[in-house]
Amino acid sequence: MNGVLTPTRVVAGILFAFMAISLALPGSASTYGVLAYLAFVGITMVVVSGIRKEPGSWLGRRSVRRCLVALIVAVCIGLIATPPPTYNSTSGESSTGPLLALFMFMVLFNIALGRATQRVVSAPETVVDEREEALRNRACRLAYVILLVTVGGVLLVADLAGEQSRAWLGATVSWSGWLVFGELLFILPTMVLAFIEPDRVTPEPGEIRGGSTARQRAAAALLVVSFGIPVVLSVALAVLPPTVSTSSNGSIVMTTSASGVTPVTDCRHFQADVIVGHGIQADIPVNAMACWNGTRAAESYGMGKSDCNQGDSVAANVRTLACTSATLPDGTLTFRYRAFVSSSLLPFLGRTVTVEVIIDKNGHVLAFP
Amino acid sequence: MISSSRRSLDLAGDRRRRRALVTIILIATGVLASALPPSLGGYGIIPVLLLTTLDLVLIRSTRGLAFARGKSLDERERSLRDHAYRVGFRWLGLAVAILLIVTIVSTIIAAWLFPMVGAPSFPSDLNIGIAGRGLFAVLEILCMVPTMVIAWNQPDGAEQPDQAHDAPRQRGKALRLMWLTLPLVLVLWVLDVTVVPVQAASRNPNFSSSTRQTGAKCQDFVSGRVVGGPFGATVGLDATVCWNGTDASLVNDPSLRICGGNSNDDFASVTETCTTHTDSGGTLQYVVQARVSPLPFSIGSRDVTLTLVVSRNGIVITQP
Repeated sequence: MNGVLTPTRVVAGILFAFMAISLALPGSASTYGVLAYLAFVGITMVVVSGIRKEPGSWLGRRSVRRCLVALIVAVCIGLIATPPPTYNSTSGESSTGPLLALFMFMVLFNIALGRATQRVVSAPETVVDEREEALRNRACRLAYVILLVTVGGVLLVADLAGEQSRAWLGATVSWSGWLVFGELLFILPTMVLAFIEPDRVTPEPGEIRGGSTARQRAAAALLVVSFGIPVVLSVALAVLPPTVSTSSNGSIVMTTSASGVTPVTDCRHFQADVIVGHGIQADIPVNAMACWNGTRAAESYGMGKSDCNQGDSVAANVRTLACTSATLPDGTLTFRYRAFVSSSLLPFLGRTVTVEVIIDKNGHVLAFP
Repeated sequence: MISSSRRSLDLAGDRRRRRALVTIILIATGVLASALPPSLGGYGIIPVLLLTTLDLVLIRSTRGLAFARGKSLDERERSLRDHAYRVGFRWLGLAVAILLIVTIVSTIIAAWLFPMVGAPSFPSDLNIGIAGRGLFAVLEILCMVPTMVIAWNQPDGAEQPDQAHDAPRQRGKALRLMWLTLPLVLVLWVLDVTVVPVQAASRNPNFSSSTRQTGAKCQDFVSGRVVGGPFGATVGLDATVCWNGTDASLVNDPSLRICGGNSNDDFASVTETCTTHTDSGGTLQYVVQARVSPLPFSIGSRDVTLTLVVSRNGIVITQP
């Protein structure tokens, strides 16, 4: 498996394929967008990983490298502690938690760590000297033992301990556990190397190694775009107006009462999707039917408390602020669903969306997105 | 006789045989991790012990280099060992990815081949974590990959260590003592399935089902008991009960053909008996009685009873 098909690349390909299949199965445009972004991040990582540049005096210090390792460990613990995306059908709240922010911090720290260690662990045999070869082999051995104890130990203890630990294991294995396992698999040797390697001696100008300047510039540009896209999309979610798509069909419903009379009621089906954001987005849908008879309008379905449900969302949190449905004394039916939508990357940045459906007693639609 | 069997176990000088052994271990691990066959019928400990034996033979063939302490190795051996760990790191990822593919594909095939079998090992409607055979396969890969790399790469006729020196002699002693792993695994497993308290298993939130019946309300009841953790057995109760104010009835398995459901008998055999009865007041009583036997002749067996009682108005009187 020499050359292009190295085990690391095959594993990365398989992991990406799994992610792609799981994301592509729902088949919506937003998931294809996520897939395209992940592919872009993958290309960025490939370009960045090919660059070996002197870490500089700051990243060359062991204490700084150890701090970076501690930060990555903290992010991994945070990811493991982050529960799977939740949706509360009672309150209508959904949240992906800090997953996206943690993931971006992890990528950032990984890049810094790669720079600090000059990516010695993944460098080809031809570009490392004897000292570096011995150091990376030792780092890999220590890292393997740490991996064995942490992953093997956690799996064994959690699977044996009891009901709650098994439930946690089941949820983690099917969620962020794979992300952390991938991090340990690909980055742990670099973390150990960064931890054990002594302070670097600043090299003489003639000794400086590095990739081509063009490649470094391309990597820097790709990095800026990779990190910029989620930030821009998070800001866009708060700034740009929502996209609304609606459809409404009238119908006549025949109902049979207990007395055997069959009164005729006019009804209308309301379907709306208010999509907040682009890429990082949430769908606030309405799917309801209202009927009227000249005296009053009433809900047929889709306007209850349990109907204030968010639709598909990508890296966005939705918090229901209000969900009310009432028929006023003059027979007008009012349904109001108000929610706060924010990006899970910048949760303090968001916008409030109100979806209203108002129909008077004669079936006139007074408000509808 | 003894010296001949020792020779047959000593593969140190024969790379071809070492590579064959590595291949056998990898295939056996893949089969163990797969969902086929759906159940190991209580004999799961046998493949585990066989794999452990093969592991020990492989460790012996590499003279336990992957597990040796640095002080007992010379510079060449230390370099070889550390390099094996670096290569092992790469192969570990590949092995885990392949295990994942094997698990997913075999689960799909098992669901297609055995749609009515009540107890494929996984997936389950219960929170049972990772099934024992899958967990062992992962631990096997984690523990053995560096040794496999050494066994695969070590050339024919590798140098014999100088037994006159203290460090190689200590390693030789450790290699002899490692055979105690087999009885140790057996004893730990017997203690696990016969002594460790029975644990509850709740419903897996990733699975959901809904049953509707005209003029009645229905509810799913999924629960179970785990005997001996992942290396024991699971006894499950999976019942959909509907009630209409007159009586309550079991609708998902009225003829008790499946009985229980979600049971896992990979490492201990499970004999289940199910009974259902609706009394004159319309109250349904559904009982799953199971005997979990890890050893032949019901030695160390444990009884588990799961009872579900639902009234005609849907009031749950007893549930596991």
